[in-house]
Amino acid sequence: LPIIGTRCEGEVFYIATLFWSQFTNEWIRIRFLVDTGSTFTTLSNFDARKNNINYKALESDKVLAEMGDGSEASTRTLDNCVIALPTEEDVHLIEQLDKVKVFDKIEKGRPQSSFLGIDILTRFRISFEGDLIILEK
Amino acid sequence: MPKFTEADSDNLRKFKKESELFHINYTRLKSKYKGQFVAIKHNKVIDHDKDLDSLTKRLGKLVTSLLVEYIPEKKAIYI
Repeated sequence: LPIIGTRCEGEVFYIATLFWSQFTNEWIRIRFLVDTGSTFTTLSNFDARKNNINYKALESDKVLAEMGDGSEASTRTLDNCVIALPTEEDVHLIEQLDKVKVFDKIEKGRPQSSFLGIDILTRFRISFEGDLIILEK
Repeated sequence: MPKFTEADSDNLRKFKKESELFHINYTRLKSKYKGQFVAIKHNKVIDHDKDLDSLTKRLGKLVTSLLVEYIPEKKAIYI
């Protein structure tokens, strides 16, 4: 069954998911922006803090992440994560990720979104239908 | 692999629906809550604030079960 995301304000597409890692130890709600320009699936600092993910217990990554606007951002890495993605018939598809990045800093002004990166998106064929994004195996 | 229970499945269904409704109602929300963070439950804004920390502090543990999003003042493009 295809995974369905929706477009927000005629702009980008988001997929509502449940996310699990050893640092959450429970399924938490994360709304990911679908970002084919992102190497890794990444949690925004806001989503991490909101869900009490103790990411500061992890070491900062040695390599800075290059952002779309040319700036650099410090990240940390969560190992062995799992994402439950919703399908159009309200069943779910489970995908595992060895690594998920977390933005280290609190965003000022407009907060960063959490990104669903190509580490997971390449597992799917992506198509668009009106305000829907459709991910199929 | 963590267990994914019927309650989790229900949570995902609700989150997907809330997210879809947020996108459908975005223009209306933008006219009222521009430049603010909004906390939404059952398609209703239950709290809002310009300061994220103040909002999350007020919401307490409830924050994880809500859709909390920022409504930008200006229309943004992503490049």
